Amino acid sequence: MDVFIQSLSASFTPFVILLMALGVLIGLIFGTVPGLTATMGMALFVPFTFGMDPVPGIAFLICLHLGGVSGGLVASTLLGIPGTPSSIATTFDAYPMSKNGEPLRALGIGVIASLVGGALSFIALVTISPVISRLAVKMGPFEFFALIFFALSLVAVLAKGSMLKGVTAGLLGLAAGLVGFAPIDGLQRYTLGILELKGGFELLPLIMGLFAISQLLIEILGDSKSQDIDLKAKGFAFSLTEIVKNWWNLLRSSLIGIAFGILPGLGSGTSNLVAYAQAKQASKTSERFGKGAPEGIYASESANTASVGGSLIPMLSLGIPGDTVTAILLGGFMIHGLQPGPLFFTSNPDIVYVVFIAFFVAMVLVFLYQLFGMKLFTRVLTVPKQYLFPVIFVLTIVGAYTTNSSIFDIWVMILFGVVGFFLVRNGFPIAPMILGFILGPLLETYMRRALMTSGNAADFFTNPISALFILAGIACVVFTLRSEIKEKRGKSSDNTLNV
Amino acid sequence: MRKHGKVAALGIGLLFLAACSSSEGKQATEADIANYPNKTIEVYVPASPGGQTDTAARVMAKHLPKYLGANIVIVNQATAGGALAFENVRSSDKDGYSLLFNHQALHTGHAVRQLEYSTNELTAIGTYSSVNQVFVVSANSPYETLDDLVDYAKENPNEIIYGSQIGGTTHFMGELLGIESDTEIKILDVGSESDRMTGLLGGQIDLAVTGVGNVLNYIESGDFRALGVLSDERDELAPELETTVEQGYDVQFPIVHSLYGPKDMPDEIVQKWNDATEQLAQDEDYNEELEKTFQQHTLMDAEEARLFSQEEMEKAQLIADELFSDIE
Repeated sequence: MDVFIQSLSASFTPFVILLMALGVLIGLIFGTVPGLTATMGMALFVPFTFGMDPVPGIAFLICLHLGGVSGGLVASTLLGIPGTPSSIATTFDAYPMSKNGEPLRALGIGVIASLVGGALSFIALVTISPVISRLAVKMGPFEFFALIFFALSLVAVLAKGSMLKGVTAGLLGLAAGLVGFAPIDGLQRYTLGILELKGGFELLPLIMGLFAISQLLIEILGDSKSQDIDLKAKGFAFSLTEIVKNWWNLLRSSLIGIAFGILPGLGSGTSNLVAYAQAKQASKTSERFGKGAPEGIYASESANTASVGGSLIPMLSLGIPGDTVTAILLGGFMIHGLQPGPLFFTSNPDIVYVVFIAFFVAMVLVFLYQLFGMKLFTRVLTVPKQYLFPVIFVLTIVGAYTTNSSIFDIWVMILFGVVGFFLVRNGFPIAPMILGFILGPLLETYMRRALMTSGNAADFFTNPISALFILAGIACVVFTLRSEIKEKRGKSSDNTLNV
Repeated sequence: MRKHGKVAALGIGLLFLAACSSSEGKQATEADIANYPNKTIEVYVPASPGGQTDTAARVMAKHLPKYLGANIVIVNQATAGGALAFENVRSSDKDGYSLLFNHQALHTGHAVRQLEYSTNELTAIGTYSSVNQVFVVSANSPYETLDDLVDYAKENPNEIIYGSQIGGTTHFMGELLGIESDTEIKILDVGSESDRMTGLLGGQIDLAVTGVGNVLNYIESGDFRALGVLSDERDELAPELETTVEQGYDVQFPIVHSLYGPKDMPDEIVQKWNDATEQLAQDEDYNEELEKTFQQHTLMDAEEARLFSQEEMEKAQLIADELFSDIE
């Protein structure tokens, strides 16, 4: 307890408070601006902390991390462009809701969902960190394969309503994920002899293309009608009853977020999509998803924030970073002479408490910034398109370039912009494509690793956890297909009756 | 609709155009050499920010400008297994403003045919730091020493499971142990350093290799046991750990961070780097920061670095030959 009070007093000096506020703000900017991500913000600002003492340095970085993941909400809601991979699923319902004239409501839901997700992952981080990361390392390639198989089966759920087009989009995503060195043996696939394609397509240019560039093309060609926007929402624009009604959705999505944060290689970029698909699966009114359903925003935003706390769990207690942002964060710790690992909780309890405190403060600050900034952010909608679009275009180009300092990635972004434009125009959903692209290579990697281990495919089914997830995945596809067929039949028989 | 088709075709066309270039860069002029360096130098790092290689490059880039007289920026290009960064430096002008910072992954990558060119197509400038690697097992494993493990492996071929990144330096380290101890060790792909830690903690693998800095905590916490540092000399930061060579196995594979420029870079420019680096070696702040990030100071000039690179290339090729002969 003494150590805790010491850390508390060290964290609440004016200088550290100022740095934390600054960290969250910088994070939010990196998360909000399309093309800039939490990863980039972290990479840029880690050197900035070199000259500081560990406490302010670490507090600053934690705040930047959470701000970066949370910031995606604004651009997703108002522009339909995920500012950062962790808010891809937020665009699906927050943007339509905003277009329907309720941008403040969409933002409000996102802000409160982030707070809930953050709070739940904070509790997990503080209470069960060491235990849970000891359990997580027991997951071998079989279990990972099955989990990813299950997540991939959610393509069917995301495709619900237009199954054929959705599955096609999912396959397109898988195909795009095949380009480059094959996992493990490094065989070149579909690289057409182009050096830059050896590494495959990068996630960020792909997302920026599919969402931002295609969005710009559609808007420029004038497909969308502008709506009257209600900027005079009452109170904080969300109602308490609605939150209570979504308690199970919020809890489930946050747990998905925490779990995906803990598991290496997944993180907030995947958890928001999976939580979204789960919310759609569970919803009795799943046809409203994609058209401004509040449940979708609750799911996505609580899951991505929860992943931040989740990803800190293995980093602090085992020294194992779950994603790129935490990997950079770990580098930042090392520069300060701190080595997170199995001894960290006993050897540096003061720093562990600083991390907890900073995480909590960041969560509250993100909430406050966004709550009071909401009305200001929505002003962006009143900016005429001829001023707004060139700015977005330039920002996405910068973002695509900075991934690898490579001009090639800009072309990739434009290519996927054109692809996305045709897909959206013809009613193909983008979500299954992203899911296929992210999960396809992971699925293959773990399948190959699993087969290297035993060489026996039957082990996928004799391993209990693996079998469970595989069955869940198959069940998910079968049930979704069945209900889809039922609905289609119901509709067509209605039609015949009417005729 | 037709208009869109044209746009798409143009986009794809440009994509190909952007990708086509494989010539060498211009030679530096007398004036270039005399004025070197008079602008910011780009150092390409084929790794993501935050990792060991990136940290090593950034520590160098932070302290060397004092002695070199120009700023250094780090360009991270982790894509394509490092092939893009390699190609960008290989084909750049030979004026010393585009350089490559990496370790033996350059050799292993070429040996497994992921990298088209070898380091013979570059000019070795010097080395900066190194990170010793150490074989580790779980603390509850029956192997107390490397001998225990080798004895078991001799009697039970392919039973010891070694986790590594296939085609990377860690894969080669495991192969080298197999060759030097004349045993068959089963090599699995597990992934990056953090994945290997996870695999060992979770009991999916029996043996792994990791940087010395990373492992000390796990040894102290009673999770891991070190079986040998892959070097002929004990690590300064962890002198209590035995080496492989002490135990009679010539498995040496410290990761050495080296700097390269394009082929036929003027000697004068290389000399300017070597002079600056020699001064850097005396810099207290630099050495302190190296130590914090668990790197050892390793200073070689251009000639030594060239020879070292040559040796490592041959070593990687030898191991790769063994590896491919196993497959075929």
